[in-house]
Amino acid sequence: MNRRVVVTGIGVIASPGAGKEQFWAGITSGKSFVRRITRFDASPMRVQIASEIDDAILRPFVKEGDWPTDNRISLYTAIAARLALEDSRLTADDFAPDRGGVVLGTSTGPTPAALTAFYTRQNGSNGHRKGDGAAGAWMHGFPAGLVRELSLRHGLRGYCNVVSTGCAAGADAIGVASEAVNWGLSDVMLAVGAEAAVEPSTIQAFDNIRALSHRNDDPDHASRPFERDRDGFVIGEGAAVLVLEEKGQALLRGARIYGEIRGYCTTTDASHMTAPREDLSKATLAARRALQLADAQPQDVDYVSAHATSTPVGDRLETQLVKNVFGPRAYEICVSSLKSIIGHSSGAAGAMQAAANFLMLQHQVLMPTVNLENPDPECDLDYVANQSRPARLRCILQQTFGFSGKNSMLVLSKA
Amino acid sequence: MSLQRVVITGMGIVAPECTGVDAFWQRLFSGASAINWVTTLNGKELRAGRLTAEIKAVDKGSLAIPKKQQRYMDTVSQFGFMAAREALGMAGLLARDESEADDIGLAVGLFSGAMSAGRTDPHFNFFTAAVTAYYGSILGNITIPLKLCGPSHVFLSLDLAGVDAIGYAYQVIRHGRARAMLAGGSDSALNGFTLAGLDKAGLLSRKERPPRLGCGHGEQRGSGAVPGEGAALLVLESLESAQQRGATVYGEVLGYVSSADGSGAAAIDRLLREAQVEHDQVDCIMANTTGCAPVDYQQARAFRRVFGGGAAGPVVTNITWAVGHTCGAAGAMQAVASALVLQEQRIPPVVNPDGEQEACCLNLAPPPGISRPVRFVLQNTFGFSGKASSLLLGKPEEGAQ
Repeated sequence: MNRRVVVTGIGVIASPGAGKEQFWAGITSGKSFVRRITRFDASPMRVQIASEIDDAILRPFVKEGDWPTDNRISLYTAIAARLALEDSRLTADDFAPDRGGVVLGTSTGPTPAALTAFYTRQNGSNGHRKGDGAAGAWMHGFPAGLVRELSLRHGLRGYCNVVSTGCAAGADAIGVASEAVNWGLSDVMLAVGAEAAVEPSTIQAFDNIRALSHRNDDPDHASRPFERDRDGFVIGEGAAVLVLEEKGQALLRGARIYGEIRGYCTTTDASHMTAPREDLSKATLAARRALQLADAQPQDVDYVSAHATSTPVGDRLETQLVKNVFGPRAYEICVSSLKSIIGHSSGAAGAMQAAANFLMLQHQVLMPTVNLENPDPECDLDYVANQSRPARLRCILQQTFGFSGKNSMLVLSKA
Repeated sequence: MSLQRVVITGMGIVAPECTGVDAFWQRLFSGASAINWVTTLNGKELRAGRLTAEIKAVDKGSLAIPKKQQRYMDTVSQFGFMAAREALGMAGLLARDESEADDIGLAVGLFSGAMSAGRTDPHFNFFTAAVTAYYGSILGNITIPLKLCGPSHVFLSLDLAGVDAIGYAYQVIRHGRARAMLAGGSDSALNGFTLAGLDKAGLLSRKERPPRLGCGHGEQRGSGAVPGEGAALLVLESLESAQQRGATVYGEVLGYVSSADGSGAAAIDRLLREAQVEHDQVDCIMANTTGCAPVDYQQARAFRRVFGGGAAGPVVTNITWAVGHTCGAAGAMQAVASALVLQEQRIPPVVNPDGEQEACCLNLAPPPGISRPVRFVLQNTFGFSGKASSLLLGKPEEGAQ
């Protein structure tokens, strides 16, 4: 009955490139992949920087007739899922179709793009005949459609769902997918986090509430978690997919195992729509429960994968959280932030973090926090500043947060 | 840890023409449908069908929540909040110790949610879009005013979202990850984007008179769904916790299965097998016939394959004729009705089946409903996308071991 969940495949598409090799090379290179926006004219906007995925990265995966596309998130999920399944070497013979499933985590999914496409077609603007193709645009407007595509294409006909918990969605998708395996609903799961956030309405929305960095003239240094003069996060995008399998089955087929998902817990602050709770009580609770489920003690943890988006409040509180959870050991643990390198990809971020974490477990190398020259005095932990570093890694606590007071924690370890 | 038994200790519902569990239950036996000509929208979004099941404007004053929170609430969040408050109140969990909040979570399903419903609302405030207009915003809008700190999720599995949320909550409690979960769905299809889309996709009723929705029906031209709106949330709780608190138990959740395998029959079989319930012990099927021919046919076929057809099979009923197709909330409204069937030992009717008793070869509940012993209710929710989710509910004292 004690079913354990292991990761046997990783597929990522993000600003450094497509595939885990490019991703790993990018996140350990010590540089940031933020730049001025090229996809659309951002000059009228206050925020003109992002961590974009180049069209050149996507083109090899797209048939001639299917380009250009106004449904980028569908491409991201399709590419990342294909890469993850190839990486896992899973074949249709390895599991029954109704014992395989998909859980997607996304904040807005394809909806903003579909709303725009729908109304331009409905109203006949932008050179469309009035009403032409509006139904088609609508049909692509739902995140569940992305799951359906993956389910059909890869023969995963069992437990399928979409989790949409804002910026925590990527971590929650991994959590819910791992629960599905752990609780016996499924044997194989694709856990997907995806977001196509580099588009004007999303950037404008986050800027309205003063969440974003305005360092337009210095994009390389805009995402700077834990730095003294950080001024908000930078939007990123992409998709990360993990192939989860029941451990016994994975061993039986001789799969390469990156590591294990040992514990997952999520709580809500119930205090504010956007701001985290200052006393950190519910975030601390989530971390403790996740460790307890993993049967891990604080001293087992070598590394904390921080949410750290580069906002003034968030990074300070997250540092405090590590101290709350680990006590004096907080100063012996390494902490770093993927968002310093590829920005904050909203609903994909938690899955990107997890992909990076399993690659770190495989390579036994820590990814750095880049742009960290002058740390905030209140952020005084070891953030693996600027340079990747070899380390002995057994157990990781991943912290992911979302609006509405979401605290989602994953405990990951070597199998 | 041993598996927990999961029971229903509270329910809340906001449905067209009936707010509150009592009003909803009475409505189902009154035979009156909320389906009518569209009034809230001017109907220009609808090419053919102009039938909807609407909720008259929510009186924000009645929400009794701080203004600060209200400004973040779109229609769907308001429905959800109202249903959530009723459910927690019924369960006796509204006024509770602060410390208990950590063990109560939320699982809510949406189809449109704040993304499309909110953004096309004429009063929509673009300035706070990042806070209010993403699918997950309902999570804060319910957990903050009602102080729920346990595991919380928003699920978006289209018209199955409500039942999938309940299924998830069931698993969470069963495996001891929370003591209680507020679970269900909240939705409104009555916004320009969703309506026009459903219409263009050919899923809406094109009838010129209020349709007569039954089970397995749909050969007639122009059949299709009538979009509705509303919310239903249930308090799922471990039996142990309910007994400790001395809470009233309305029903027991005995199993959940979700499958994208196409037919649905195999999934129902698996559900019954896992719950160790024989086919002939199922007394009532709570179907979700939408009025869309292919989906309804598929559903009727699945029932016939599992239970056999004709009068010998379980009594089949639905609520769609009364409240329309409430999309993400549909499965949760069904679950409220199912729990009430178990509690009251009465099965609400399928009103105006329009001669489809013969067409679908199922034992439909005739008006004005049936009083009979009901031990197990199978609730089935079939989605437009070919995915189906089912719940098995039982009378509390007769749950499987």
